[in-house]
Amino acid sequence: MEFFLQIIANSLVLGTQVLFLALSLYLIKAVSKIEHVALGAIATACGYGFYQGLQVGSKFSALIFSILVAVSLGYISFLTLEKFYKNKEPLLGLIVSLSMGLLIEAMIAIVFKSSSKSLIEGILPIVEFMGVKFTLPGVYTLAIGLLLALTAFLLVNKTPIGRTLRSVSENSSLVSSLGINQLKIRKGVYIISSLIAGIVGVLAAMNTSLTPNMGFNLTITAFIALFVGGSSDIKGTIVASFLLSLIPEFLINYAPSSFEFTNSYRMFFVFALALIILSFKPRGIFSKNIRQS
Amino acid sequence: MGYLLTVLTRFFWASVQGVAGQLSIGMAGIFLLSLSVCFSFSAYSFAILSKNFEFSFWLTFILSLGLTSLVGFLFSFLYTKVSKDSFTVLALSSILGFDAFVKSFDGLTGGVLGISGILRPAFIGKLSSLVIFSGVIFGIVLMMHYLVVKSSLGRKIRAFKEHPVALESLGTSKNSVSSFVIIYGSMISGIAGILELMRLQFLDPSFGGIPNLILFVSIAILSLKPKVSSVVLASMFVVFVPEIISFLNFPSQFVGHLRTVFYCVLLIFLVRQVSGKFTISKREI
Repeated sequence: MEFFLQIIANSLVLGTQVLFLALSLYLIKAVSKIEHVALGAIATACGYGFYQGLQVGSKFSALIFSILVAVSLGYISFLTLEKFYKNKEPLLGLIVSLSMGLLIEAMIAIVFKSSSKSLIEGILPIVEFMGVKFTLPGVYTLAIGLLLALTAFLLVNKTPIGRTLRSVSENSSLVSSLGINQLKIRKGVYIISSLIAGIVGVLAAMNTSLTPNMGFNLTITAFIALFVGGSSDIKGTIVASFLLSLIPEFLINYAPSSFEFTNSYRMFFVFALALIILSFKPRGIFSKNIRQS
Repeated sequence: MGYLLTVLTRFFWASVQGVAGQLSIGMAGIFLLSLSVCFSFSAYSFAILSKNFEFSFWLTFILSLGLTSLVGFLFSFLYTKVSKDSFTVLALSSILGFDAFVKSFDGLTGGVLGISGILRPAFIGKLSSLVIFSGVIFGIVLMMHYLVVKSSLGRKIRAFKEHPVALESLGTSKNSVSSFVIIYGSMISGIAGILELMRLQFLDPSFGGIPNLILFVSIAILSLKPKVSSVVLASMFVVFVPEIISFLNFPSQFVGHLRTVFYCVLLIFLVRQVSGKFTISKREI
C-alpha cells in the first residue's frame, strides 16, 4: 500500500510540474494561437538564473535573477512571435519558438557547460506524511501547483480578466472594437507564462538537478497534456497533466517483471498514450462540441 | 581530402532530406517534423537487419525503406485524424518518443551504447566510392523530385496547400495527396538516414534527433520555391556555411554548439522573412 501511495505522490509532483507548463502553454495558445515550445528552455534559463544568483549572493538575489530572466525572455518571445499571430501563421510561430528554445539551450550550454548543477547542496530534505516520503521542493511544487491551478481556473472562468482573455482568443477584432488593448494583454500573457515556466524551472532543478536540456521533455509532455485534455478546456489540461504522469509511472512499476520497464520508457509511454487517445478522440478527451455557423 | 569527402557526403544526404522537407513543408504545407524520426528509424532498421539477418545490402536497403514507409503510413493516418496543430506537436514529440524507445529497448537497439561495426559493402568500402554512391542516389532522388514537381501530382500537392477545397471539388481526395506526401517524404528521409549510416558505420541515440530536425527545416524554409535547384542551393548554404564558420577562431566552449546556434539563428531570421508569404492562396476561386 505504501509503495502504491509513493507512486501516486511521485506522479503528483511530476504532474504538477507538467501542469505548470501546460497552463503557461494554454494561456499563450489562448491569446495568440501559437504553441510556444521555447517555454521549456525559458524554464531552464530561469533555473540557471537562480543558480547564478546563488553563486553571487543570497536566495533573494537568486530570486531576482530568475525573475529578470523570465520577464526578459517573455518579452523577447512576444517580440519574436507577435508577427506570426498577426499573419495567422501559428505553425511558423511554432518553428521559430522551437528554434528559440534550442538557441537558449545552446547558449546555456556554452555559458554554463553541459554538466549538471545542483541548487541544493547535499541530501535533499525529506518530509514524511502517512508513510509517504516527499522531498521539500516536491512539497513546494504541490502547494504552489494547487494554488496556481485553483487561481488559474477561477481567473479564467469566473473573473472579467478571464472573460477578456477568452474573448481575445475567440474574437480579437471584436475585442479591439470594444476598446481593449489586446496587444498589452498578449504581452502580459507572454510575461506571466514565462514567470510560471520559471517557477517550474527552479522547482524542478531543486528536486533533481540543472541540465541545459531539462525543460524540453517537460514542455513536450505539457503540450501532449494540452492536446489530450482538449485545448479548449482548462479542466481537461489539468486532468491530462496528472494522467500522463500517473499512467507511465504505474506501467513502469506494476508491469510484469518480464517486461523490465525502466524510467527511460516514460517518454515512450507518454507518446504512445497520446497516439492512442488522439486517434480515437482527435480533439482531446474533454473537448466540447462547438456550434459553428 | 578526407574532410572534403566527408562534407560532400553530408551535403548529399542533407540535400536528399531537404527534398523531403521541401515536398512536405514547402509544397504541401504539412509540418512533417517526424522526418527526423524516419531518418533515424531507417538507419536503425538497416543496422538491425544487416547485423541480425545478414541480408544483402540492397535487400536490407529495400526492407528498411519498406519499414520506414510503414512509419510514414502511421503518420499519414494520424494526419487525417487530428488537427494540424496537434499533428505538428505529435510529430515533434515522436522524436522524443523514438529517442526513449531506442534508449529503452537496448536488446534490439543497443540502448545508449548504440550499434557499432556496421560494415559497408565492398563496392562502397572506400570513402571516395561512398561519395560517388551518395552522389548517384542524390541524382536519382533529384530526378524523381523533378518529375513529381513538374507532373500533375506536383500541382495537386501545391493545390493541397493553396486551396484544399478546390482540390476536393476537382475530384482529388485531400487524404490521398497528404498520405502520398507523408509516406513518400518519410521514405526519402529514410534514404538520407541510410546514406549517413554508411558514412558513420555506427549508430547511437544521438543519430538524427533535434539537430537533424533543424537542419532539414532550414533547407525546407530556404527552398520554399518548388524548384529542384532551390533545394540544392539551400542544402549547399546550410551544409557549407557552418563548415566555413567553424574555421573562425571561436572559444572552446562553442565546440559542439556552433552548428545549432547557426541553424537556430538562421531559422528565426528566415521564418520571420517568409512570414506573410507562406499561406497566401495564389489561385483564388
